[in-house]
Amino acid sequence: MKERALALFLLALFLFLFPASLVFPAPLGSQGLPPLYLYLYVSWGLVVLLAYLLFRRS
Amino acid sequence: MNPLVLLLSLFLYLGLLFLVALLGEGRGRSLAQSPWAYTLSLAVYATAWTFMGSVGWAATEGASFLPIYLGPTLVLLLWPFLQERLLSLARAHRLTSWADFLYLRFGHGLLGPLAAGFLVVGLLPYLALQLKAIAQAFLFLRGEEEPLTDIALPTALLLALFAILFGTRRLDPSERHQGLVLAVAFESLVKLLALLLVGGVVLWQLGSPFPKLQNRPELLSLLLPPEDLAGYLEWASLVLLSGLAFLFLPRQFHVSVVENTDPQHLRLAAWAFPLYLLLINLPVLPLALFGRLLLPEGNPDLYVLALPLELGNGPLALLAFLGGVSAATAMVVVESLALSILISNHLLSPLLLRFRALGSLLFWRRISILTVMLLAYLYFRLAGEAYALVAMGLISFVAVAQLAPAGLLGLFWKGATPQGALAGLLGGIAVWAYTLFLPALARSGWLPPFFLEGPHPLMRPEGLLGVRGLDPVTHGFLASLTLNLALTLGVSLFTRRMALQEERTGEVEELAALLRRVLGPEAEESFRHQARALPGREAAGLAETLLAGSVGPATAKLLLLSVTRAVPPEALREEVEEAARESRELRAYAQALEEARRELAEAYERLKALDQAKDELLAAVSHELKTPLTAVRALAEILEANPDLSEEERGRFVSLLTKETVRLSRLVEEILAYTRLQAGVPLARSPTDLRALAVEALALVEPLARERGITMESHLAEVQTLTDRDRVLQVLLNLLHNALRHARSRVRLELLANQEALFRVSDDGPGVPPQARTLVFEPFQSFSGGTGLGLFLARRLVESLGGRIWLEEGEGATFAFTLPLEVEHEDSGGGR
Repeated sequence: MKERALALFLLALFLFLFPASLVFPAPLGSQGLPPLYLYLYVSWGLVVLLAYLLFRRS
Repeated sequence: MNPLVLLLSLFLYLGLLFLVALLGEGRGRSLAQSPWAYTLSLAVYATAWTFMGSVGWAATEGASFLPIYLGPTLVLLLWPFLQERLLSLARAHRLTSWADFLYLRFGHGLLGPLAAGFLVVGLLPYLALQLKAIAQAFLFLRGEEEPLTDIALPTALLLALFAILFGTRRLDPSERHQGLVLAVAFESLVKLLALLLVGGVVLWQLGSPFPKLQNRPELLSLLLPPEDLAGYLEWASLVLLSGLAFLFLPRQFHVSVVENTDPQHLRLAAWAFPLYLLLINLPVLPLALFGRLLLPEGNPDLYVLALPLELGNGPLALLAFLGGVSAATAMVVVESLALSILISNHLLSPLLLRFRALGSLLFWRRISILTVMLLAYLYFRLAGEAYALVAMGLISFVAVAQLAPAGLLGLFWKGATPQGALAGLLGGIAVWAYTLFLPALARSGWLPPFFLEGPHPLMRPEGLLGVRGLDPVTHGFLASLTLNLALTLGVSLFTRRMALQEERTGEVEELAALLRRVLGPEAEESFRHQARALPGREAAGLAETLLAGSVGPATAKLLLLSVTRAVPPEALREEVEEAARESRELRAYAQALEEARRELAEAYERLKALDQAKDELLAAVSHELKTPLTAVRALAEILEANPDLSEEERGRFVSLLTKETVRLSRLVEEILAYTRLQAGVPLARSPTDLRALAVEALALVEPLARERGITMESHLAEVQTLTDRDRVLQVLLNLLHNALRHARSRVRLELLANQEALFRVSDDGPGVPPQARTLVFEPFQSFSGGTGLGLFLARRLVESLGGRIWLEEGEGATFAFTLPLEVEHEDSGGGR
């Protein structure tokens, strides 16, 4: 499990430290929502989901 | 809002908190020990700073409030490496703080008090921040802005009472406080629900804030990510800083390590706590944007309270107030308790021991809680209005992060030394004070502006070495942590690890009496039970662990001095050396034995194979020699018995005799070649022109080819390599003889060079029957009257030269073999 935890940590590190200005130059997207916040919250949610799948008791 | 209603609500809420804590110590004990309560108690991380300060930060700085919650998410993913290890250490040694760990790991008497004193000073701004949040919120709802009145003082005193009642019942701080844990978990739920409800109602009534931003383009920048290097550096630094703070904050250590009842609770916390942080941050951006849109003149830190009032929803504003209070009070209670343990274990107990007043340690721990609370209040009154909420919290975060290099290197690197840890901590503290703490006091007017400007432009506290563009917290964090880490690593590399601390031994009776005097009869009984079958040295270790949990590791060591004696060092050294020597010899003996066994087994296998090969060879050779010998004998007898044979007949028989003797001679030559190969005659490598060698081989077989009417063809590339010339020639001759024996009209020899040299010998004969293809390279497998050794020898010779040989598919028979292309490495002249 340690290897998977480390892999998830590295994935989360990449997602959280990704220079978002490269892909989200505009404050609002086509849906009228801020893409930066959408990206961060979706990434965060994904990390929580993967952590749940990894650490839940079998 | 009516101040009486506010006061009543505040004190009713605090009263409810007391009831929940009582429940946790009574009927709700199992609830307090559940993994969900543990997970929620970790949310003591989310303070008033989260509840009110994050909205203020988002309203002025944009998304950079989020890294404060991404860091803990990252750290919790590493729990199998970090927290689990800490938990096992804490259980074994009754650790109550990182300062305990530093003392235990490095054994330096100064590290514990230094870390404890620094944490108290460094965390005062953070505690002050919570009191400020409560006071500000109260005044705002009352309708007053300035000056901040003293609602913070009675709240602080009540919280001190709470911490004393539910955190210092007994002397042993490593025991679990279920009431405290349940109260903190309850507060975590309250603040989450309050913030979600405020955010939900605001969104419900006002809709999405984003379309409204089109009329306020200056607010769109709040939705953009950091664009320049400084902004990105700030983002990454905040992620790292918050991760370290989550790990090293005394209150986080207390709830995650000291109050942990089962390490498996971390499995739930690792995903549920990040989920909690995600949820509590969801309403922050909408509240911040609505605050900027509707209350442009308002204090951003108070948008959470102001927006419900703006909507005319008084009860919601009151709920928001209680949410902020719950966030602040949980932090204040746990942090002040954790700091009081630090103070009493590392600063007070050595003093009390000196004045023979250790019996009053519990009293002094309670006084410590009160003192910490009053100091925090004092800081808030004196310096609290100089900075926004967030900046004050971040100064404390940077202070806490100074424990990280010594703590983490101490956990994972055996080479870390006490001198390195001390140097790093001192360096980090100095830079933290110079770049963050003193400028904060200068901003509050308590120190002259010199502390903001520095003695030289290159020594400007908020821009060391002339750095510009970084915000002060990022700058102070990076500067202090870099120096701290560099000193810890550098000094550790150049200093020796201290020798093992002196071991002590003692009598169980005397140790038990000491425990009774310091910790009481229950501790004595527990010790007697555990130490019954232990030798003196281990009993002394157990007593030290029990004492360290209550009075701190340094005092425990001092206390033990009076009832124990040092283990005789000579005896100990001899014992250890003898054991090590025996262990080394035993290991070496076992290794030698295993090596000998393996060699013997291999030799036996080799001998067996050779014996079998010898038998097979003898049988095959006898068989192969018998046929031509029988023919020779028969022909000789015919010639002897028939002297009157015609010349023609005699000539035919003599020709047959010659042919059989030639065959015998070739067989003997090949057998000799085979035996040389078996004997392992070394290679005679020399630079060889393979093309010239192939031409030579063709010339040697030319007479035989002419005799049989077979045309020789060749296509030879220029190839040079380092090889055994004679062996290659022998392989070529074997393959060419084999081809000439089977060819109808044509034999072709090719030599190509790519990454290796490739020879190909083909003929237009009937080819090798399918059933014989797998056997052609085996010894004595002749399918056409040959000796059956030619191809076998060719294979062995090619393999000994580092190449491969194979039979290709197609018309006729085509044998191919490769040789590695090597060049002679001449001495470059560097050596003799």
